[in-house]
Amino acid sequence: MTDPLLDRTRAVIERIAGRDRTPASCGADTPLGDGQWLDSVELVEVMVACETEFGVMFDETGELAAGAFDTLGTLTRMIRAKLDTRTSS
Amino acid sequence: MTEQVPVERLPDEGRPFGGPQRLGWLLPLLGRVSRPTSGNLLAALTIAQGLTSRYRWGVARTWSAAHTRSRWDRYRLTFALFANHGRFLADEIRFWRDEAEGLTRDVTIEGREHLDALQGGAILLGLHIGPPVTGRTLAALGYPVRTAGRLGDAYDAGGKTATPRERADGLQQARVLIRNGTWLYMAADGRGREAFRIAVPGREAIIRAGWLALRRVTGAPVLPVVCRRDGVRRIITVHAPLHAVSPDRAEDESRCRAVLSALLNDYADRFPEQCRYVLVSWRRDRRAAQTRRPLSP
Repeated sequence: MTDPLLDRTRAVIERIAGRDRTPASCGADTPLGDGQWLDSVELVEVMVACETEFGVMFDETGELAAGAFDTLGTLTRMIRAKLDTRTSS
Repeated sequence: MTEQVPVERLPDEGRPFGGPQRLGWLLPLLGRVSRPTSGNLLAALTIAQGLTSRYRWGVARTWSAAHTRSRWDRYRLTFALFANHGRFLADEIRFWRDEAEGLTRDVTIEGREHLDALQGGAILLGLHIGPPVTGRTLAALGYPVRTAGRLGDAYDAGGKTATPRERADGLQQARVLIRNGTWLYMAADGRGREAFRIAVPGREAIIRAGWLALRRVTGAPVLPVVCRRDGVRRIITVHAPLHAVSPDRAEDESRCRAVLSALLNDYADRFPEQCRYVLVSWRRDRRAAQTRRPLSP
């Protein structure tokens, strides 16, 4: 079963990193910031692009270091949680 | 002016000592002697290091050959480069703990009007040329400056290299600071991913991508800031802001490169003995290039 939000997140990342640097078979468990896919600058650019794409804000308390950007799946979960919070409030 | 935003500390500011970590042991010793004496002590050390290191001797001689004509001048510039490197290190170590009075003594600022015209957050872009601690000096003078110096290096404890996530976290903190009105001082030629190189006779300079990314994502003005030593005085020159961010990334970088290239080449022509970036090793870059390979499709 596909997850549309995960696909959109992957599309955002692919736009930043480029198609040739995006794994062909990437899924929820694909690591983002282990130095193979995205570097530090690209991680920040992905963060900003996600803010624009999904209308969410990443807070200032170290979400990057805390694990939200570990894998494509964790990032998607973070975005979903932010979208849910926005909808419920 | 006072600092506007007490956001959490940048990685650099959490360290017990902000200079080169392997020289931290000199801190108590240099604190007991005068500034000229500490500078001369470190100058003697770095001259000795230059004479015994094939790498340092080689880069310094290549640099000197590109900036002088006579054989005697080449030797003079080589030794001046080593000696200034030591003096700058001594300043970096001493000023780490100095109060505002020590930091601001014998300092002149040129281009102050560019700082006075700023509204909101900005990036003050330094280079590894001339005396260090420019950002902290500006902060001590009352400007709302924070030093981002070694984003990610704070995570390098025990020789461990910062991960991309940790470095990105540093950039994110910097982004928040700028968004909240802080003037962030950072080096264009520090560490991290290479953006482009600037051709300078004797040794090219590697310009990193971090400040360019921050510039793009914040839209903040970027003011190049350089410092030089003139006797005991430190002269900080603030240049006019770079152009506003252009949507065409390649063109944008090209224009930034042109401005920085003119600025750095002018400095190298006038003060070749103060270009400390010349002595910096790029071994770390070569290691990074080896570990980060393109993914297979």
